[in-house]
Amino acid sequence: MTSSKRDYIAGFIAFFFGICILLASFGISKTKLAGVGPDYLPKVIAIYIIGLSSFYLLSLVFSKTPSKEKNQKEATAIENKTLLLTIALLIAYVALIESLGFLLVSALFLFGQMYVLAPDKNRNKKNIIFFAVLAIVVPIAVYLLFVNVFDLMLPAGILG
Amino acid sequence: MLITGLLAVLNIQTLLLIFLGVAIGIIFGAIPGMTATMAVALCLPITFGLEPVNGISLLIGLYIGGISGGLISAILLKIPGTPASIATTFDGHPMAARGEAGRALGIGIVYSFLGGLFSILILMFISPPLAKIALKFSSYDYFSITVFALTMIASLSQGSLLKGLLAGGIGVAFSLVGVAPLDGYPRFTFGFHELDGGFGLLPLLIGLYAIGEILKTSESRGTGFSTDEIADYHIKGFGFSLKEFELQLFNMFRSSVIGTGIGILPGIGGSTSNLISYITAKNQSKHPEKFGTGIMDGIVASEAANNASVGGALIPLLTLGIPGDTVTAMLLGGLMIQGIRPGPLLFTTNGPIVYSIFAALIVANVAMLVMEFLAMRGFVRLLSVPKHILFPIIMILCVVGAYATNNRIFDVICLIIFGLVGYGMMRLKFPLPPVVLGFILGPIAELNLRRGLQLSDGSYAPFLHKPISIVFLSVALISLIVSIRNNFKEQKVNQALGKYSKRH
Repeated sequence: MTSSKRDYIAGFIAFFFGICILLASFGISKTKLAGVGPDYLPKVIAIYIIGLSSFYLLSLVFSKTPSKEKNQKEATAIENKTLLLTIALLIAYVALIESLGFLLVSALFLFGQMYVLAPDKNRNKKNIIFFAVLAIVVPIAVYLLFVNVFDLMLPAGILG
Repeated sequence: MLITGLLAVLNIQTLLLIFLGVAIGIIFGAIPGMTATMAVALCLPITFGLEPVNGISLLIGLYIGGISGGLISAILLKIPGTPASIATTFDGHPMAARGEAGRALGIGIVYSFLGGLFSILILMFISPPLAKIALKFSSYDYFSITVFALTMIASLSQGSLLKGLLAGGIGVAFSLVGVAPLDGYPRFTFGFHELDGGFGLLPLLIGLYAIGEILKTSESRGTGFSTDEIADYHIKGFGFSLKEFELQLFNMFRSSVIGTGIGILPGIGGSTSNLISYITAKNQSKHPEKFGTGIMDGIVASEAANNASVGGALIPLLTLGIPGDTVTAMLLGGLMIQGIRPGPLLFTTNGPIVYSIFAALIVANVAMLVMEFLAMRGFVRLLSVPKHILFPIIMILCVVGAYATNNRIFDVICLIIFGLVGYGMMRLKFPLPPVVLGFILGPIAELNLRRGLQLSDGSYAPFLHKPISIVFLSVALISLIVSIRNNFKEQKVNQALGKYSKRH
């Protein structure tokens, strides 16, 4: 992604976010209190965001800075596969935590996430066993500490 | 009087409780997702069975440790452990990344101690008159102060000013979800009752920073981040010289005053004082361009201010019985359970207890200095844990913290959503601190605007007639104009540099 493309995307997302707030804020009915109603700040913020993002987009169109450096590619390549796997793991973690319970799902998540994030050279047999041990020990330690010592609640799931 | 207070605290049992409190507090402060509030809430039941002095000493230890502990993860991991240490990441992490992790921690610890001490002394000697002034602040004044604090966003945005201002607006927009102030009208809840209370600050902060950081790490897997690049085990003392200390004297004093002053005002507190102090230090500095590159000034400004807010927040609590934030509300509960009712009469009816509270504060502050100094080398070793092992574990702790606040999965879902939002904003080069500042300050501004307008029957005149209000509104306007002008200057310089480099 070039930096000027990125700036345009940023401006458009903010612009549409503002439009969404403005549209949704028309659904807020006014109350009979003196002064401004509950719809006031949402509308102000929506107009603020729409106004600023339009100004931002216009400033990009008319900007005089040399386009050569603007279109430079980002220096580091992005590992999309690792990123998507991490996002998938995070979503799965949250989706399953209530049904499977904290201990089980945390162990699975820890192992999966450590494996996904580990550089290739660290993905040998010895390290994988180490990940597995950590994935079992850490959730148990966290669970014992927070549930038994600090009396916090954590979802117990099928093990509970 | 203070001697009697000290004598009440200086026994093995009470000292042990203070040290234990500080230790637990530091751990909770340092772990992203756990805060001082949670540490106090969890230990509150333990204090029921203790003597009043012991119970309060434990709570105070937790409070001081919890606020200070945030600097550890802010410096080492670039993830603020608590909202109070957001600004510590700006210069603390770059300094650590340069190989001076020990120095960054040492500076943070010492100035936490000094800022805390400053505010405790203020609390001890001039709290009644200060509390009286704070009580005079009307809704109009609060609104104007919040607006002033919001304009600070303009100076907080590194890079594009417009993007910073937009990020602030997005932060305020997030805070709109939930019931509106005064009339309780549910806004943007889309029929989900879980949204009635709005988003929590904790899932927002931890999502934006911790989860965002984990996602950012995963996009650069294998680019050598697992090697231990930022280890500095050779720390002499606290890592800075007497001469450097002298150079920071004024900065320390100003930051402590800002921290105490903001701490006194209910609702604003330590979460914003560190940012405002940092911005002030940057704006008044002779070399503002060096801020953010890992200089001592930035760490001093943030850490002196956030710990000074502790003493500041205790001023209205002890003298008026008004808690300014969730931690002090919890402390108030702890005091009431022991039969101590904070308020104007406390100093006459419970004199000895008041002085033991002061003594416990001083002892806890010293305990924090000693323990963090001793453990500093251990903290630095955290950096030698490869990120692919450290970050998944931090993720688990974030989930525990988000879930435990309200015992519901909903907050964990918010955590992940804000993580994705934070990552997206980082990719699009939106600065994150304005989002947090807008999220905290937006509701305060709205509440006081609407309350003020209700009192004045819809007239805006009092906002311009009250002296405190008009002063802050004018300062807000000036600060906005100055930062816009500075931004234009910066752009012109950059453009000139661009042309220059193109020609040569």
